[in-house]
Formats: sequence, structure tokens, C-alpha cells
Amino acid sequence: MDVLDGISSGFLIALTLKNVLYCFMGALIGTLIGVLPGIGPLATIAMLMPFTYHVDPVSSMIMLAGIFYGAQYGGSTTSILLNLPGEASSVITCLDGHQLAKKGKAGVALSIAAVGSLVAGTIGTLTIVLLAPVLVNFAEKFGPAEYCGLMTLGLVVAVVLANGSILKAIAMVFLGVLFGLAGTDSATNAPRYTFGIFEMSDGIDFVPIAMGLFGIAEIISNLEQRTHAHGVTPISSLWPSREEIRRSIGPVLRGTAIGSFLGVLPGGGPTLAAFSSYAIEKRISKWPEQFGKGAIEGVAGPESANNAAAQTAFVPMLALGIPSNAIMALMIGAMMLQGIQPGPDVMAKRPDLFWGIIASMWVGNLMLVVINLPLVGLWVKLLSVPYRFLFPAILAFCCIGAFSLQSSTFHLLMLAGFGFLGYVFIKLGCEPAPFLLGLVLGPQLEEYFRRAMHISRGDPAVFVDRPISLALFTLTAVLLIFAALPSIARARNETFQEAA
Amino acid sequence: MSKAVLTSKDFWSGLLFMGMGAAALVFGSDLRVGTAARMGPGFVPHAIGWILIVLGAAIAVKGFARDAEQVVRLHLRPVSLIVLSVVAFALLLQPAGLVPAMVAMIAISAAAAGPVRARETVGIAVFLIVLCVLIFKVMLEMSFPVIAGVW
Repeated sequence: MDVLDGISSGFLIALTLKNVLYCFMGALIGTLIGVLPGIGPLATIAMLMPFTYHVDPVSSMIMLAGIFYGAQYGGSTTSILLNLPGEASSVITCLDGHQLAKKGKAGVALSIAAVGSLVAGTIGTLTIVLLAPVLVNFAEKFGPAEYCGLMTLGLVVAVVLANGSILKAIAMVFLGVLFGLAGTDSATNAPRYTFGIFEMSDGIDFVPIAMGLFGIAEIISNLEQRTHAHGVTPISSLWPSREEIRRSIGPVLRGTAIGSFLGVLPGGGPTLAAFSSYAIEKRISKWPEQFGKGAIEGVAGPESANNAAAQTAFVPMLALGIPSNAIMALMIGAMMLQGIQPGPDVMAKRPDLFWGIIASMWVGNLMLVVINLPLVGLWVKLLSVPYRFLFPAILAFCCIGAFSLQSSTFHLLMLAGFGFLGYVFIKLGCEPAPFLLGLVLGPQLEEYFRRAMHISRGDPAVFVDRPISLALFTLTAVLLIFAALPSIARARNETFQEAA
Repeated sequence: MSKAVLTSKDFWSGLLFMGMGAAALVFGSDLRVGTAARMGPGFVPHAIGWILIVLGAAIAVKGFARDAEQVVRLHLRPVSLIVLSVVAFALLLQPAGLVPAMVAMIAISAAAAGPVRARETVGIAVFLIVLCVLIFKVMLEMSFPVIAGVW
């Protein structure tokens, strides 16, 4: 069986000493930045991307992936102990997790969260193994029109799920595509928006943009806010009672299912998965009044859901080359930096990369339980490091990283420029994530659009004549119409308000 | 125009998108548009330019609503000093070297965070510079001078 061969060869790759070390490094860094508020996986992956250039593609992707799911583990630690979410996806865990900690059950909440995450990570990885090859086979039937449809769908879902105004998110996607088009036009070799700058002739560089928007802009915005000192709740026994285990099994499995499903959808991801899981657990619970006062289900469900989603978010990225969220857009950027064009043929052309990453995720999840539970005291101590010690290091790494791309001052000036632009975006309530997705997908979207229109001799009906393409565009249209309906728009706003 | 419009998020984001769209048209005016069947390099950029102008206008109009969301907490100190610190690093790295570039960057950015604690900042600078030289120059052998003319 192909899949079995694939995954076993993947484990052989993931379990080499070198890759285990990179996986461990990723998981460690992920936990670290998950614990530290003010720096998230987006900024970290953007910051470390230029340095992965010195490492082979498989190891570097394994490490970057580890940062992403490691942050899900780390984020829950601070939610439970300090009522301070390290990551957006752990916001909901604060509600019941911190209440449990106040009752002296911090250790129980932590271990349920970690074990739930491990179960979810395992099932999530299995989902990738089963689902990704199916999608790859399906994608073989795709022509330019279908790719256009798929990318448009991905971008529109990102818009619908973006925080705030839909109109602004759409404009941000277009702006991202526009920036992505800068460079030499692939079809005609005409330079576009290069302004005679040598570094622009190969296209606008993705790394300084991502670092500027997510690294530098976040530093500025963090410095505007006052920081508080936090009191840490002491940790008791890590062992949950039999009753607590029994009550957690259902939420863990349901959270895993919800997370696995939402992670695959474009625009979904850990945060949405955690919120959905919490809402469902509260609705079906026999004692909903306990939620918000320290219900173990309110930790077990969301923490499993966010980790499952963090795994399955890799499915569309690995199988189709389509990012389902901003972090996956960065991963695609990292692959392209290594000279690998993401898409359905990655599985056939680079089976080592494809299966190696998948296998490493399970290895990484196992490591994370070990990193997190016994060392939890150490992580909490890290929180006493004030932000004014932290941000100069982030600045220095971003600057040296941006420079190292091509040893050019231009990229450093770009970093400063996009840092400023990112700050303007934050202040104006424009989400940078749709921009990033547009930027990454822009050049391909244009290419497929042109090809499809060329084949049809300029007749746009090509996008609705083919059944798969028609289905994708119909789905896109339905989503947009729904999102624009006033009643749904209101519900959407309320959801985001709850999240904030 | 009321004061609320001039501080509304929608109004300014609309203007931003319109400006970007107009810039796409102006700077891309020499790009051949072509036909739908044989698109030139300018087809999609021009289309996006117009789309951004229309979307931007629609967003800007929303800024005139009575309950339009306002831009809040605009502090000029962090944004100007952090951006300046990156620019200083950019301009100093190749001509002067990593050490002067990092000293300038850390000094300027320390001022962005509030009142400067001199001893603490010197400590951070020494620690980070040693760390960065070890990682990026000694281990990764990157191509920038540490101190121009010396190393």
C-alpha cells in the first residue's frame, strides 16, 4: 500500500538524529514563544525563515512546523496559570483553565490539556496521512480554471473569517495580490513595478514583508500598551482523578474531530477550532452552569481542537500548495525559498519532504508532552522576563535575517517600510493575514487566470463550464453572499467580540 | 466634514486603498493591457488598480457613518523610533559593521520603550552583540563586517 510505504519511509526520515534534533528545536522554540505573550508563531517563523536557507529543506520544514504546533502547547500553559493567553488559539482556555488553577487544580488542567493535545495531534496526523494523498489524486484532474476556483475559494474564506470588515479584508486580498505581481512578468518578461531596483526583478521578497507586518509592527503595537506584572498560581499534583479523566474523554475526541475538520478548511485553523469546541461542549454538557467556573471539559475540548487543527492545516498546504491561513502561507514561502514549488506534485517529486514532515509531527507531539509537563515551572519563570529585554532580540534577528537573504540593504529598508505599513494596518483595523495570502497566491492566481482565459479565447464562461470549477465558484459566491447578509454579519461580529 | 470622519478608521483605510489603486494605474501605465484572450503584463494590475479604487471609495464612504469606528491610541514615539532603528541598522551595517549598527539600533529602540535605563540597555546591547556575532559571523559566516576595516 502506497500510504503505508509513504508513512513508514517518512518515519525513517523523521527519526534520523539530525531531524529529531531539528524537530526538538522547533518544538522547544514553539513552546517558548507560545508561553511568551507578545511574540507568536507568525512572527517567529517569519524571523527564522531566512536562516533555514542554510539548512536542507526537510529539516527546516520540520523545524518550522514544530514551532507552529509547539506554540499551541505553550499557549495553553500561560492561559491556565496566569489567565493570560500566550496565543490567540488559547484565549478560550483561560475561561475554565484559570478557574481550575484558582481551585488548586492547575496541574490537572495542564496535564489534561497536554494529553488531550497529544491525542488530537496523533489523530490529526493520521487524518493528514489518509486525506492528503486523496486530495493529491483529486487535484490531478485540475486544469487552470479549477486552480483559479480553488485559490479564489481559499482567499474568500480567509476574507469571511477575518476579524472586522469584510470589505476591508477583500481590499487587503487585492492589495496583497497587487504587491505579489511586482517583478518580472513570467509570460512576457516585462518588468512590473520594479522601479529599476535590482532586488525587485525576481519579484518582491516575501520574507521582509512578513517580518515587517508581523514582527516589527507587533513590536510597535506592543510597546504602545502598558505591561502588567502577573501573579503565578502554584502548581499542585499533575495527576487528574478518575472522574476528571472520564469527563475529559468525550470533549477530547469531539474537540479532535472539530479541529481536524476546521483545520483542513481554508481560513479555518486553531483559533476557530478552539472556540467552536468550547461552544459545543457547553451546549451538550449536563452541567453547563459549571462552564466558566472551572469545568475540565472547557480545557480538554478546546485544547484538543486547536492542536488537531494545527496539524490538519497542513493538508491543503502539502497536498495542493494552497495555504489555509497566514502561517501556512509562510510555510509555502519557506518552501519556495528552498526552491520547491508547492503543489500537488510535491508528494510525487519530494516524497521525503512530504512524508518526512507528516511523520515528524507525531514525533514532535510526543516530545511536546515531555517538554511541557515536567518543565512547566521553567516556562512560567520565563514569563518574568520583561518585554523590554525581549524586543531588542526580535529586532536584531529580523534585521540580520532580512539582510542575509541577498546581503542587500534594500531588504532592510523594505523591512522598515513594511513594519510601518503593518502598524498603519493595525491602527486602521485592516487584517494583515488576507494581505499575506493574496501576496503568496497572487502570482499563481494570475498565471492560471491568464492560462484559462487563453484556452477559452477570452471567454470567462470557462470558469463555469467545467463542473469542479463551477462548484468551487458557486461555493465562493454562496459564502460571500452569506457573509454579507446583515443577520449573519451580526452573528459574525458577536463571535469576534467574544473572542476579543 | 466633521471631526469624527477625519479620525475614522474606515475613512483612512478607504483613502489608503484608493491611493494604492491609483498608484498601481500610474506606475503601471506603460504596461501593455492586451486582450482577455492574450493578456499583456498590464491586464491584471490595471484591473486590480480599478477594483482597489472602487473598494476604497466604498470603504471611505462608510467612514461618514455616525457610529464609524475611530482610530485610537496613536502614539508617535514607538512607531517612529522603531522604524528609525531599523533604518539606522540598514544604513550602518555595510559601511560601518554589525557592532555600530546594533549599538545604534538598540539605543534608538530603547528610547521607544519609554524612559531609557542606561545600565540595562548597555547590558542588553553587550549580550545581544556577542550572541549575534557568535551565531551569524562565527557559525554561519555571513558576509557583513563586524567592525568595518577591522573584522
